[in-house]
Amino acid sequence: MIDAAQNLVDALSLGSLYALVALGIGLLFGILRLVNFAHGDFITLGAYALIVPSANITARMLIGAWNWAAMIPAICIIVVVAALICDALVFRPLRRANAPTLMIASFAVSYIIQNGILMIYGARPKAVNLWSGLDRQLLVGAIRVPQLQVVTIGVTLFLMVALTLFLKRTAFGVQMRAAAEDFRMAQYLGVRGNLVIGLAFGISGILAAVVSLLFLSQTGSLSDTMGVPLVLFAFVAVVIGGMGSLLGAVVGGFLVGFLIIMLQAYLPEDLRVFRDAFAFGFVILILLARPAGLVPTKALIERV
Amino acid sequence: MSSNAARAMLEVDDIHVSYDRLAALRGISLAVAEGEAVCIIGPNGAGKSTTLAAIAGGVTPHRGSIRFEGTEIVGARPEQIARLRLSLVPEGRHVFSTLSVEENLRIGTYMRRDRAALAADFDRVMGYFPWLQARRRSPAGRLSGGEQQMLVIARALLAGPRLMMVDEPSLGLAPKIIDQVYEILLDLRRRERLTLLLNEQSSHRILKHADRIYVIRNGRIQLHDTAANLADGEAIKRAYFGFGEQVRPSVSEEIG
Repeated sequence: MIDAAQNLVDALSLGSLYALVALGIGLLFGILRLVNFAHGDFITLGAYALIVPSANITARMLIGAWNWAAMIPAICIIVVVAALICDALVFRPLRRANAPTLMIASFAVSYIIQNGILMIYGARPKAVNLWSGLDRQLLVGAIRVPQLQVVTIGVTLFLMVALTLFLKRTAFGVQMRAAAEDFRMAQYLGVRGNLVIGLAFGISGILAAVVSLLFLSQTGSLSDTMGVPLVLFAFVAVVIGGMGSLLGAVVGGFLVGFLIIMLQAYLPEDLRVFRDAFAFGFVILILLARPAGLVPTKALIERV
Repeated sequence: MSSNAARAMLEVDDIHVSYDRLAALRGISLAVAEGEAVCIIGPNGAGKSTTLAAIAGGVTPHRGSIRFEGTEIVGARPEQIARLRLSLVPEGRHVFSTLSVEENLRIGTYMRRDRAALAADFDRVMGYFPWLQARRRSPAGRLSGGEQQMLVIARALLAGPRLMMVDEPSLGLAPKIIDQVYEILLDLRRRERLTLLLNEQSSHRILKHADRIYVIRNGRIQLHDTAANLADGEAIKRAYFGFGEQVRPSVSEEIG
């Protein structure tokens, strides 16, 4: 019973990270039909931005030494600027390109960021101790919950509520939702295409920055490919949630987190190495039952 | 007749549009003067929708020029053209189905800076479509086809257009609803001096309402005259089908 509750908290915490990454991917896909595999590298970029740029094996904190109230906005700004530069240099010239072309371009961006990080910071992973105070365990009834998991879940809930309010209550949010449903019609009504796309890149940059901090404080290690597994699982989350649906991205993110943790906990020990294979097996089953995802969107059906 | 090029609000001059290598427009020229109601008639696939999309910036002509109130707009983005107060209601309605009715109505207003005029427009549009008020919180996707057509016209009006283009306002609607749509469009024209450029597949309604008619087929203008001169429908029929006497007289009435 206690084990089950503990596993559930683990699942919520991992699911939160996947949900945040999936939201970042889903937002851009909704508006641009771009499956942005470089999103994981935005996360990597945010994490590396904490330390002094050098190839030394030991990491010296730069922004990472700041107070959190300064650090979080600084990392957000850096990642948002990087995302906007990617849009301006790569995706804006490809506005009329089809979805596969955009996706391949995002692979190129991904490799460029990874290799840029290799050049500046070197190839070896670096140990980084971010927010070690969050290691403490909170006792909730009989279960011990690491403070970091509580923070992760709380931050995720906060960001999801904030994003929902932005999309529902603000003029920019309404324009983004309109553009996600019918981009051309929104333009015919005066919605600035580049502004809406820039906003989507900006918001997905903020989401990536937050994930980079949460993820790094969990793993304590920097590497040039640290964002890749996150984006892979989040992409799966977006697909099972229903491409183009933000609610679907969140549901998918939590579901993938839940699957991974539960398989890790309850698979027989010999089979545990195949955990991800089992997880993807479940994904295939879900897609066989619901090919359009758990939360299918009309917008996608119309356009494909 | 007011197609005097010097005073025209909208001047389309010899535009050519191709989709991949398939020519859709092979040199379309037309003009709309301020306060006019002009209609483009033609069969399915003739290039009517492409003509309006080209004017609105949805497709870019590879040849020719389009001027709106003297400004060249070929190559401008759709949102820039919308900001010149040139609106398009495209074929097939295009409501944002997951947005509420009210959000749909607001989309076109974000670009406007004339807050006072906007408030007046809002009251006026609600006067034309009083039922919108009661439905303003429901998702637009739940409206009936006729209601959606009214909604997209209301939405386009709130963008404050000086020239409004409507692509096949009667498509897929019951005759009673079509009459209602036309009543509202013509009332707007009379009272607000709204300039109209419409597309239709069939001429029988539009001859009563439009000042001038262009008949388009195979991406070219086949015929252009005042509605009064074309009132008997014979010349339209010949231009529409590309031949005259073999056609059963009722065919053009059945379309649309």
